[in-house]
Parts: sequence; structure tokens; C-alpha cells
Amino acid sequence: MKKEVFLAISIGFALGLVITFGIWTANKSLASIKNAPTPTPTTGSATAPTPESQTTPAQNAATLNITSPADEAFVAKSTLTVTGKATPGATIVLLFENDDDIVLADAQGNFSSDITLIPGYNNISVSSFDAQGAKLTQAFVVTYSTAKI
Amino acid sequence: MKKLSLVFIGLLVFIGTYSVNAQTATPSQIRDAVQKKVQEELSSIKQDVAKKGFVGTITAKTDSTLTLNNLKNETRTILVTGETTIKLLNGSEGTPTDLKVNDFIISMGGVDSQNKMTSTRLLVTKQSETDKRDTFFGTVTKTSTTSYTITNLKNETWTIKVSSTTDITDAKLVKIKLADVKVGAKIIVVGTVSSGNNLTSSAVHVL
Repeated sequence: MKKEVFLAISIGFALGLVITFGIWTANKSLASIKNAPTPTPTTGSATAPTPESQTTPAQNAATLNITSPADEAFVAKSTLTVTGKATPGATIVLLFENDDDIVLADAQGNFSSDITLIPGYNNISVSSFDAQGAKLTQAFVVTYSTAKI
Repeated sequence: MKKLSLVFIGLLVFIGTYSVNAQTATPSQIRDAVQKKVQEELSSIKQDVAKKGFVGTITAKTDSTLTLNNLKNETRTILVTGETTIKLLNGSEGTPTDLKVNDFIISMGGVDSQNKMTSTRLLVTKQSETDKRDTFFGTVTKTSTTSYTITNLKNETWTIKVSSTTDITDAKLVKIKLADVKVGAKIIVVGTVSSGNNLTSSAVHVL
């Protein structure tokens, strides 16, 4: 009787070990999948260029994109930095209330200009010119007030 | 026999505990999950409280809602509450009943995910005059002591009046003199059309 009980316990123990080992192996495999590196935009960009990267000087496609501020933005400071991206090397002309500014886009097309706002709403126009004179313009409105909003 | 059973139960408890631990997330996984959740919440909060300024003409009005036609002819919706500070054209404080269709206003406040504004401050004001300035490109065909003549991409001829207040810059944005701009130069002009094909310039930039 004692022999049979001991045998049953041993078989149960062995079976338990096998099952536990199986669970452990499965968990380990799942963890390695979770930690595996996922595809990054860098990998994808090699085969799928973004709209910006499609605009190269070689293609001569003029672009102008204002990255900041957004249209209808509200600001509490009188000095505003306008940033954007245009055709590399393009001449950027900013017209704002009572003044204007001319800056150049860098080799990547990035540009930035600090402008002064008047209290209330400000119409701001940004134009880019490439070497051939092709012009693109974007206009937006920024509201400046020191009142607590 | 009892001892053997106890050892067996102990082993099962140990293996069971190990198995549970194997399924528990690591500290870095927990940290990443928390960071992701916080970022999502922050983005959501930022979007909820984004402050904007709507500028335009009131086209419709109900008790608490204004419909606005902005400067780009887009429709905006503004909620006016008891907390909204209203300033009228004469500078005095007003109430929602003072707001009329065709009033030109600046409304400041937070917007929700539908771009609907709850106005905190609303000003009735006058619309500023249309900016007559513009930017022009052309090739210089003639120069004088007070002007340039240019031909643009449409083959139109324009006369650019240059004064002592006109900023003239070269390709590197260095200031130059009127006489430094030669026939054949490609220029960008900031100016106002004065009459016909005549421009009064405030800035001239040589490409």
C-alpha cells in the first residue's frame, strides 16, 4: 500500500515538474518576443520617404510649412518665434503688423524668425521664394493679450 | 510517509511561486507602461485646455452660443458663459445680450477636441484695414538713383521706388546700397502697390 502511494506521488510530482517547465518555457518565449526590437521609423524611411523628404532640391518642388505657431494661437508674450520648413536655401519673407523680416532657410529647409506682436490680433504672412522666384505663401492669425485667459 | 507528503507539498508551493513570479512584469515594463499612460493623459489634458484666439464676425447668436465667421471664412463656435469678460467697442464691460450679429470680435479661451471655444475674454473691436503690402520677385532690367525697373515671371514690367528707409540686402542678408544692385540681379521686393505697376518698397533682397 505504502509502495503504491509513494509511486503515485512520484508520478504526480514528475508530471507537475513537466507542466511547470512547460509554463516556464512559454513565459520565457513570450518575454523575448515582447523585448524584441520593433521596427522604427528610421527603418521605414529608407523605403518610404515622408512628404518632407520627397521635397529635395533635385526635384525642385517648392514647399512651405509653418510648424509654429498654429493658426488662431493665443500667446501672452509680445515676442513670437515663427518656425517652419521650406525649400532648402529659400528666402523667407515675413509680413506682420507694422513690420517685415527676411530670413534664409538652412540646408535642411528650416527657418526661424522672432517677430513682435501688437496687442489684439495679428495677421502674419509668410512667403518663401526659391532661386527661380517660385513663391509660396501661408497666412495665419495670432492673438496676443496679457489678460489672464 | 507524512514527511514525504510535506516535502512534496513544499516543492509544489515553491514551483508554483516561481511560475507566478515568471509571469510578473519587470520594473522597466511597469515604468514604461506608467510613462506611456502619463503621456497619454498629458496629451489629453493639453488638448482639453488648448487656448486660442478666434477673430471674426458674429453670424448667428443664441442665448449662450455665438457662431463666428473667421478671417479665413471658416465657421467657429463660441460658448459665452457668466464667467466670460466682455469688453464693448467703447471700452465698457458688457453682457452677452450686448453682443450682436455682425459685431467683429476677438474671443479668447480654451477649446475642446471639437475646436469649440468656451470664451474667457471677448472683445468687440474694429476690423483692421487690409494689409496692402505684398512680396514680389523680379529681375532688374534698369536702375536709377531712386528706383529699379524689374521684369517678373509673367514678363510684366514694374518700377520699384527705393527710398532712404528701404532696407537693401545681399544674398547673405548683409546691408548694401541702392547702387550695389546691378542689372540682371534677381531680387525680392517687399512693398505696396502705389499706382499701376509702381511699387513703393520697404525692403529689397538680392538673391
